Amino acid sequence: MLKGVLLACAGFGVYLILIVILFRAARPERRFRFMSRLHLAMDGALVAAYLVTPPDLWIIPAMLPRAGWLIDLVNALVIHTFLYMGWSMLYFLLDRGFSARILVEIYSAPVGLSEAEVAAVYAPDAVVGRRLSEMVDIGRLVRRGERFQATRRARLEGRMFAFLKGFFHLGPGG
Amino acid sequence: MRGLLAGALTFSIYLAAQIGLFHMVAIRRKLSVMLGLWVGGLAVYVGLFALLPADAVYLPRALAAPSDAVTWLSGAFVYWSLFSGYYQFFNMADNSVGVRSLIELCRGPEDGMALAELKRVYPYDAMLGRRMERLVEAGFLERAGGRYRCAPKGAAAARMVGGLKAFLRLGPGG
Repeated sequence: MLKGVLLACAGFGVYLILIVILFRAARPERRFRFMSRLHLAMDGALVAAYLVTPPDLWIIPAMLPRAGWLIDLVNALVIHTFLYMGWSMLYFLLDRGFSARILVEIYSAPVGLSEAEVAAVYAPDAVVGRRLSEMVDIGRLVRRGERFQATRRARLEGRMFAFLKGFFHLGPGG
Repeated sequence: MRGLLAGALTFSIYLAAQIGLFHMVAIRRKLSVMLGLWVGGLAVYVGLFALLPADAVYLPRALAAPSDAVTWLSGAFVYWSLFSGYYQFFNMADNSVGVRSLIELCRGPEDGMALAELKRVYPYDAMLGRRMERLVEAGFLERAGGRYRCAPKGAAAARMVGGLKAFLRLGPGG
């Protein structure tokens, strides 16, 4: 199992380095789509690396028991994908985190901010407008003039989330 | 396979317990309770891993892995990752601005809603106030009169988030 685990960790390390370089140099517009595609490409690279490298990876002691190649490779892909998911969560926190943005705005103000001042520097139209535009981009909403209309799929998802909020007693939330 | 199976089975048991508990009781400190349940689930993982048969007993060679520390840790990592992925989904259902907007749009008129109409049913004051209250409760912000300032914990978080946003050139975000 160690070979797959080491390759998955190394692959994810390379992925992070590439993300940092490309985000800083190329500043892609649709970042999450870019991240997902790069992850898929790295999955392919991981499989290729697994197939062309020796079972001991030149560093694993021979005395350690070996796993079957298929479970080792599947385990490597699972770990690689979960590491990517963890990174995606951090990315969304940084990029979309509402509370994180509030903290940064208050921290940047020398004497702090009142709620009205936070609302002034971090305007509601920007917060909701960005999310609505993204839902238009991914086909959940249709924009007709000033109005946003939910597609059939979005209505299904809306009902599912409304059910979950009710089922778990979450309140209206948001 | 033993680790993956133990991790996936433990997460299924965790999920059933979390769903049952959150459905029956309205819980305020959701993350703490979910983390507590996850930690409790570790004992289940240890037990399940011990109870499951070794791969070599029933699986072909390509799918069999030794029941060593690497397999055990891989399974525990799978259990953790399934939990954190689920928490992300749960948190989205609970707090996401996009999800709440979608629900309100689905409840609104057939021809959709303009941003101004959406703001009437999903007021920005509530969206912002709820988060600032939570940041105060969690010790990230301090309130003096009508103003908010970063507590030391909040300042450290704001520096880290702000630094990472700048490093990755993500823009102000939020």
